[in-house]
Amino acid sequence: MSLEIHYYEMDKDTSDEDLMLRYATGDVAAFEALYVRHKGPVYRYMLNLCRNEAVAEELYQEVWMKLIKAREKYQVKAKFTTYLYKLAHNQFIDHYRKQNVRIVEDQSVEIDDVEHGQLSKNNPEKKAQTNQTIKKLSGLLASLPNEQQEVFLLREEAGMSVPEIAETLSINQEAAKSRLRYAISKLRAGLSVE
Amino acid sequence: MANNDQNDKELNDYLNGDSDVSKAYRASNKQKPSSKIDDAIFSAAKEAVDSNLLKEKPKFHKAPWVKPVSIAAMITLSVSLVVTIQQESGKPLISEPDIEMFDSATVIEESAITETIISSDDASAPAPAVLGAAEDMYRAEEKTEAAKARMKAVPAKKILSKEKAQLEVLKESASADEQILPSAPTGVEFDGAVSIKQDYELSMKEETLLKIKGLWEQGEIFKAKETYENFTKDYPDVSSESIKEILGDYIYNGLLNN
Repeated sequence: MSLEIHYYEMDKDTSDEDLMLRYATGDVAAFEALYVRHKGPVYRYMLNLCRNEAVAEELYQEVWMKLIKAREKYQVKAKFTTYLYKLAHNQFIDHYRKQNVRIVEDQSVEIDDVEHGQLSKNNPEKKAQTNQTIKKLSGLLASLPNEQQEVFLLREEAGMSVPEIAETLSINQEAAKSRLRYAISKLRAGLSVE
Repeated sequence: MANNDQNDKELNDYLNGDSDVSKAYRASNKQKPSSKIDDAIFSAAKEAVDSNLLKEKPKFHKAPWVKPVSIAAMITLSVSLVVTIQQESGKPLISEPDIEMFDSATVIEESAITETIISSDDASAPAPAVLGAAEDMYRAEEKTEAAKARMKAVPAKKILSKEKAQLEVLKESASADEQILPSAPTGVEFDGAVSIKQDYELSMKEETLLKIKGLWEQGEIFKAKETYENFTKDYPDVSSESIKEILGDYIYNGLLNN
């Protein structure tokens, strides 16, 4: 509760970079505002990549801990989201390398009933259809190669452009664009199949 | 070629936000971390800031001059404390009292007292001869050694004052002895200053007799006789045998006959 209050007290126009700089000087409220802005997207990014809630939570916490530790060295060289998701990407890659296996999907992504209700608008038939689409998308997303999953998640969760995705993943823009193109094509093709 | 164009169109539509895929994904993915995780992260963020503040404070205390100044202050305090304790306890700063030095001082003082006794007892007497002085020094040394031995068991200041008192008592008793027993036989041993005085008188008698002998041998018969008469007045207790032993029969008979 207090977290939300702090967040709304904080100037909403303050950029992520400024909030991070303020936190580096000891402003804990700035960190809270920053966290509230990004906690959902980063968590979902990690959850969809890992497909394991426990692992995702662990990696998610590690990402924020690294951000906290790195606060004094933080410099505005790029967008904060690029910096944050680089941390998240590296955290996932490190975990992936340690496991040396592809993360197996054992996570059935729960559907947000409230959101679902808004979409279906109390139409049971459409609700069932939407529910089916979401489940299918979840399966399709999990079936994508990690590289394509990741570019899709960075686009969806962080709202990154292709150049930003390329910078975050340390790849060239053509590669980022290509991965995203293949991801979208597969997902669309899968969703269109009855 | 047509497939690639289709893919590019799909991508552009997607990037423009006009995609069923995006809508479906956003509708399904609303998960958030638990409040427990939120709290853990907030706590970590706050603790990091707090610990950083704590780290910054000691930086002031870690100024380069702090350490040497602390050491100097510690040494100064230690030294002043030791000096204060020693002054209060009354002990000298040098840890071991030098008993030998104190012994020497006592000996010097004792010798001075002995000389005072002699000069005050017989102020009108002539200066002691070399032989008599040597004997006195020898006896004084013996007394000094005895005093040293006693000093080892008693504090030096007490010894000095005790010795002074003893010498005063002996001085008085020697004067009394002289009055009571003026004709005490030669060779009778008295303790302390009494025996020293008698030894001195003995040496004076011998010296006077040797002087008389010398005058006689030099032909100054008159002076020899006069000195001898004074001698017999001063020392009536000296036997003729003793006088003959030093002067010889010839000079002794000559003094009596002429």
